[in-house]
Amino acid sequence: MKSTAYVDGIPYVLNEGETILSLLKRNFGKDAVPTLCDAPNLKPFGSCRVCSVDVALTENGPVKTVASCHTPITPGTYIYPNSDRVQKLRKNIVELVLTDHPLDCLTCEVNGNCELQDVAARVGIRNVRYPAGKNHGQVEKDLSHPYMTTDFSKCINCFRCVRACDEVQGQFVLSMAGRGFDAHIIKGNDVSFNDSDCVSCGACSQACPVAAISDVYESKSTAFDEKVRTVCTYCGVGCNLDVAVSTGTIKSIQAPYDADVNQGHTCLKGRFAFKFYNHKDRLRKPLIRKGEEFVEATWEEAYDFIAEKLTKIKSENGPDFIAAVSSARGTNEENYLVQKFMRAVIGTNNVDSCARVCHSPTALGMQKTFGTGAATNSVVDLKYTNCIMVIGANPTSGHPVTGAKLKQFAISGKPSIVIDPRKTELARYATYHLQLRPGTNVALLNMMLYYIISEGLEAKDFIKSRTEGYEDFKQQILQQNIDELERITDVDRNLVRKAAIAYASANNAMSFHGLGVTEHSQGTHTVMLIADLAMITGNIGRRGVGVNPLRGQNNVQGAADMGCQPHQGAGYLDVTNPQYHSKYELFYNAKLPNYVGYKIPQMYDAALSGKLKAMWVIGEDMAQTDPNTHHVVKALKSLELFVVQELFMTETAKLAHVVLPACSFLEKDGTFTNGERRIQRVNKVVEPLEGTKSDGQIMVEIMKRMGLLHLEYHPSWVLDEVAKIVPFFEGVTWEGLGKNGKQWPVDKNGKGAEILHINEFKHGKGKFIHNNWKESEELVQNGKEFPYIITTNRTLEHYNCGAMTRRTPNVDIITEDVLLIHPDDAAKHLINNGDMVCVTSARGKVDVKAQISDEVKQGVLSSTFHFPEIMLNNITSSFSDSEALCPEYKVVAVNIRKSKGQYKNAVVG
Amino acid sequence: MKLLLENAHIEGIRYYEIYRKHGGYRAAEKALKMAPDEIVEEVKKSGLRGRGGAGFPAGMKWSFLAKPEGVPRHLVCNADESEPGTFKDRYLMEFLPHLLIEGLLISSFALGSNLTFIYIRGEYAWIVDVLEQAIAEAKTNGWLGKNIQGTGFDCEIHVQRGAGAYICGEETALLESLEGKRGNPRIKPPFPAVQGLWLRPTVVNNVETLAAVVPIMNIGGEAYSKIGVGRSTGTKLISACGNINKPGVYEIEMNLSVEEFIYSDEYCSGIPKGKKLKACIPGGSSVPIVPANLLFKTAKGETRYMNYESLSDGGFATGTMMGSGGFIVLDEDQCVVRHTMTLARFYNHESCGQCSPCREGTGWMYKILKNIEYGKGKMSDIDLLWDIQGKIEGNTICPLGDAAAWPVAAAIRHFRDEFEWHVTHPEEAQTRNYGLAHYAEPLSTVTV
Repeated sequence: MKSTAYVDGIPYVLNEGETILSLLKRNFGKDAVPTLCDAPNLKPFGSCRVCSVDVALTENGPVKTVASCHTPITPGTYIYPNSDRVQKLRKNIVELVLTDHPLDCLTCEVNGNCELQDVAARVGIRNVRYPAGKNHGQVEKDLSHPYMTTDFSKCINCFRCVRACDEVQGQFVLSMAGRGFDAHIIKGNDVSFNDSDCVSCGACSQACPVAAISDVYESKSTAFDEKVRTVCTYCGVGCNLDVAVSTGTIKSIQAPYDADVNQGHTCLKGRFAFKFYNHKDRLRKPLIRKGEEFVEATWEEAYDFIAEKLTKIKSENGPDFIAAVSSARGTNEENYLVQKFMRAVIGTNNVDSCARVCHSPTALGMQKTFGTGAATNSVVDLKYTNCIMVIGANPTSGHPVTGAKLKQFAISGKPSIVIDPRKTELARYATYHLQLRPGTNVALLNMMLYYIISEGLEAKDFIKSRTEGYEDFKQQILQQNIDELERITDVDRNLVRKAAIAYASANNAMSFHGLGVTEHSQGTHTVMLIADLAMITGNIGRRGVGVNPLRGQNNVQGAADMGCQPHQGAGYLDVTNPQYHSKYELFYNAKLPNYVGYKIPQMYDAALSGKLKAMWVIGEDMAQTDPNTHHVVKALKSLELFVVQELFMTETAKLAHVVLPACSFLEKDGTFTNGERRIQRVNKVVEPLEGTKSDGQIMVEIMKRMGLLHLEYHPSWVLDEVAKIVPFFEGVTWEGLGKNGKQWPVDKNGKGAEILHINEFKHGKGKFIHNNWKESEELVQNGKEFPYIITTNRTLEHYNCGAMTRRTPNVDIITEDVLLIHPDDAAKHLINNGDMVCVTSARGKVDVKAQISDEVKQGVLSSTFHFPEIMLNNITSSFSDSEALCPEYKVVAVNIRKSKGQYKNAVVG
Repeated sequence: MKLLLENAHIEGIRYYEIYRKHGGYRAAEKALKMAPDEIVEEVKKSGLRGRGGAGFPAGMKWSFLAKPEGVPRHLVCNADESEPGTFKDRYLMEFLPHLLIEGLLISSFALGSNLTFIYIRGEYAWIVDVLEQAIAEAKTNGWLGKNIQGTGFDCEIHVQRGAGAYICGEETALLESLEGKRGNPRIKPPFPAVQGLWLRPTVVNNVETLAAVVPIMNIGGEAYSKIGVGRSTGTKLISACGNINKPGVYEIEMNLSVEEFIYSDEYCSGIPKGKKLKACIPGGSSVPIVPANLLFKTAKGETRYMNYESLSDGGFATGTMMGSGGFIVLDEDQCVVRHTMTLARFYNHESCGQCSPCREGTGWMYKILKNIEYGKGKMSDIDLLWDIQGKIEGNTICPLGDAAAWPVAAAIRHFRDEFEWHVTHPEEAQTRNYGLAHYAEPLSTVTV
């Protein structure tokens, strides 16, 4: 029988170990008792005492006053949440708090949205009995930061910001200094927000119950007509955002506490970097190239131009002379329509998406081993795991909300392994940091597998019952030459052994990986070895385990799910398989090719050799972000028709024949699928900027123009169509997704799945696949002449080509790309911090500002390509993953010398 | 009978050789031959209560210690003696460091702590050297370090200085500080016995408590429990100060009357210049002040003794607390308002600022008391003061809130007329003291 406790004499059933406040909130709503220091995403703290209640052991017996937020409820006790005594106590406490709080509510930013104001009104404060005394009214405001602001004269010392910084983000910027009445919040070592280590996640501002910490958008208090819940457009975490809109303009963004994905947290990109949406640079009219110039056109003219050209090329050269690159930033529905357009209307499989340049090896590698190319588990599993392994990922920058959770895990002291050539933020907290030479993931994972087998730590039962190919695999692993691998990876074998033992001996171990795994010539091989590691240790099919790729873009999972890949259609069905081929033909009522189309790198080669004449690119700036810029630009320039659908005039759009002004995620409906397979609803916040259209709308209209009629574009019917063809979307409906979405596979009853491969793998048994390490061709060919290795990375503040983030105040935080260089290397070339360095490779050269850092080892450099001023991809190579053709951004042979900056702004093309 | 300070007067007792010669480490020898649980049992039997102020039975505290498999446990000695009026631990550590080390060794062995800490008040800088010296000697002689006396038991003791915060004497704030963080108390549960230092099971005991384990081992728990009276077993160190002829640290059996303690030559030797006794704070600054007429006799007319039960007889209405044994005596010349203001200033300064009632309340109590003391008070201020203390008491995470509230409450409770006189005689209050309360018992009945 469940135990009970009495509230005002009436019995209520208790949940195991819950606090009094939790019981009261559960039964009487979130305003059951007033609170100040309590916040939904923070641990109980018990400092404000406003939530005090009376508790007695017998009915109407002698009472004791306790803080309900942190006091566990004792079965059988009698709780009086609003006794006269308690009410008087609350009133007096709030009165005390008000003695050191300015009483100028009417001029305060958060007037009407202030928790203190609400609580004061609620406990019935009419006046304050205390005389005027010393207070903190004179504390100066801090307006130094592009986003964060403070006005500590309003601080009520509830510690919510400090706790948010510690418990949610794990940045430890805010702390309390001084004691007693003198206690006050400081940033860093008592510096301004701008000079502190703040990562601008805004958790403190959202947590602050008053206006002591706020932001430039005054998110807490914005007057709004409506708040629209949608999903962030940046990374694959898929944070839910509450966007406040007033008279058709976006005012601010907050993170909803009831979001399963982000629980009230998000990063500076999600929370603050939205101003790009109505930036003056937004494209507002279709543009058609006339010679060197773009001329504004109507949509009709643009469609006519495109349709005519496409029809001509199709009839003259055949459908395979046309290709499209869809966008993993677009919605599922839009991606679905793009591939439908290419397959059913044009009649080619030449459709790919930017998943190609990030996680295509993940999809392929995991399909080969597990049968499904998606994360096996969910981020919530971090609560259940005992060991994490993060390979080739810098989640605190790339996936900040999941990164913060991983960081909290590492800080907690539980075993954490980071495999990365850079000393990333997470690596600094990790138990084991295996700082390998770029391009040696396969070698290192083989070492780990060797130690797991030689130490006898394999999960024998799991291997026997759930997998195949193990004996072969084992033989190959045991043949590895550890001396050789140790030399290749440049990681101490004892450290590798310890890490392997930690991973293998944890009850539940969870691996995460990012582009540092995939963007290599052996990307797919590495993914398969990660899968092997999970299988050999039995870490599959339950809570707290699995292989979890940190997907790059918000909808990179969805773009592949929807079939924007040349070898698989919607739902990952092989286009060459006769059964699936006829299924698609029947479904689309069209003749489809039964052979694989071009992958993105192949498109460039085809264009250069005249086998591709038209390309349609949606929201991808390949000229800035695809490797080997010269090669890319040359290929794009050789096209007869190059259509670009964009928000801004990017480096790629500049090369187009037709530029179509698309609209951003804030201006459309649809669904995104995040890295944990969660299909979430994107809801239109504002109407599209005048003159722009959503990608889905454009697709429907062009299809109509070319003969395939559809209803007026709305994601709901597209989603219904998707549900009919994509098996794991079977039970997905627009209405059924609700607030927090569903994780696929969604069965016909609409039930999602947090964990995959529980009883068996998608294709029956898990397959052990082994691969030996092989030096990157780039290093084999160019390593002698170019002795340094540059590995590319991303910053927290900017997103990929930066087209969006560079048009927000994020650009005031990170203003340029820099070259990370080891102090010894810098000294060898007489390079000082801030000097321009000329980086040359077999492809070209760029000038980048040096930042001397211990983040990289000697011989290794690192930089970003967020800024077109640098165009780092001028030097990256065309080498790519042997299986999935994902470009090798992470290993580029270069040389360096101090420069005077004369090669800055190397002209594109 | 002296159990702790018996050898305190011996020259050089601070050093290992002399301490050993006078029976030192004999208790440890005995204990190391026992099973850890037997030691805990022995301490339980002794009835030893925590000497830091709360008086919680030490053996019971020890038996609460969680012992999960594979998780280290810690013993932490609370030497952050900061309560105004209390200086017994300082005396004990300064003169008998090996007594504490021996007690720590036995207790660490009983609790299974291989890493034990002494968290010492920052101002006791010179005692750190004394303790470090003693620890080094103990190590040289095989009483600390690896494989102690061949038992296979390892124990290291580290001395950590506090940084001058009263709050760090509160056990959870102490643990935070020991972990290198700001000394803010933690919410309970979880209690330190389950999640203490670095979230490991931890016992925090006062210096005197841990030192008392040595005589308990020597004479046995049973014998120890026979000393004293009722549940106040054994001996207690009292640090006496204020208006008395012989301030100092005394070891008493807990069946000594308060009157005898103040007036007998063996202890405080009465009040200087034959002045009258006005009031007394018998257990450190935070326990309620008691006017003379309630000090020697309880409200029921019974003799009041220096022990836990007798001192708290009558509750806060007419009694007080044993506390930490910081015995402060006030003679007829002392002003209770000024005295209370001084204490309020202390608590205002020492509040960590975490809980609203204490952070704001201690400030206002000090401000209001200052107003009253300096002739700027209003009658309503006294009620406001009463109101504030009532809102602090019991409404904070740690007992510092209570400690700040009690002295103010007791002062108003027993000396309200003096507060009122300050309000009604603002000028006079600046130049002369109110003197004795009308109900104070002026003279001792003890024949000196």
